[in-house]
Amino acid sequence: MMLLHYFNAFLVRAVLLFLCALAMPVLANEPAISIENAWVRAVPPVSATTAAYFTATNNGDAAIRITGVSTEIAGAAEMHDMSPNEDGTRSMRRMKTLTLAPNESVTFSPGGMHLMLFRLNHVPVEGESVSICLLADDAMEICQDFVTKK
Amino acid sequence: MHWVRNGAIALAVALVGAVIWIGLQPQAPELPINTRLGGAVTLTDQHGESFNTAALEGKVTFLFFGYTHCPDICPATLARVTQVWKNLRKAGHGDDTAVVFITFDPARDTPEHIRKYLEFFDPNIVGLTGSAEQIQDAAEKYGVVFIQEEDETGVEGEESKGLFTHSDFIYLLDQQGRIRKLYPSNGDIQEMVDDATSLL
Ligand SMILES: [Cu+2]
Repeated sequence: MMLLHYFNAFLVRAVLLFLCALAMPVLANEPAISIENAWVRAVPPVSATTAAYFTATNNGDAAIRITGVSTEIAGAAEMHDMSPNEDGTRSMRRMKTLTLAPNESVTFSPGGMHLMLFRLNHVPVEGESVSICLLADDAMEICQDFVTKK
Repeated sequence: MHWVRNGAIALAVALVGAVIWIGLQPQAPELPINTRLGGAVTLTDQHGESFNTAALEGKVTFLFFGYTHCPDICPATLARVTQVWKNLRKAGHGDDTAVVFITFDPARDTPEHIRKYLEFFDPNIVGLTGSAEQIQDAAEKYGVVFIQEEDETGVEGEESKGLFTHSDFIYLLDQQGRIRKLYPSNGDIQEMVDDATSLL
């Protein structure tokens, strides 16, 4: 009886270990950053610039440093922040990098942090989806479809 | 004579009721007149015609400054004010209201470019540009500050050249062209509709 009990516990551990091993590659393949609510602002067809917004969450257990942005529809893309000045104006400032701590989430939204798309070679229309990639350290690239909205 | 007395009582009750009812209506305080800022300005509209904003007297107007290369705030403001105007039109105030957009980037915002840009929102929006002096004059009248990023190689990088740091209020003008209220660029749509209606 005692022996059987011991054997059962061993079996449970073995099965758990096996399941963990199975799950491992799946976890490794999952991008550490998840992006939600990704959208691009619909602007007039004659526009040279637009902005894009999203919420990014670092699901991994290491900090991730975003170092750049790229998309086929723009000649250049940057991360920007918006800060109020004393005279009532607001300035956009380029953020060269943005570090997300483990479990940290950041939201890019109108009037705040945003992705700037410069020199548009194609102005997306409402409903169109646009692929935008965030570049991070270690050549990590996180690409996401952004939907175009007013 | 009974019916006369009853009638009189009924009338009195109705009158008192009406007075109470009117008294209970939420009475929005009248919007104050801004005597420090504002005034008519002469610029060029999107059809290349000279336009003096005094021509808008008799209408309640939403006016704001911006530039079409603006990526974040300006298109959002335009979309918002366009929605306000749409709601006012639905309420039958389309002819008594106007929307004016003034650029502070005349080098790139030609009348032709502004016309194409505004078509996306509402071709009836008055889009104004002009000489640097005219725009400076308009900005001063409305207390608008704008600074164009100059540095080409500075820390901000090449792309930021041409962007403006600017104030981004929306102005509500009454039928005499006087400023009655300022809203932030993300001002509440219903509030703007209600304020405009209160001035009509
Ligand atoms: Cu920006």
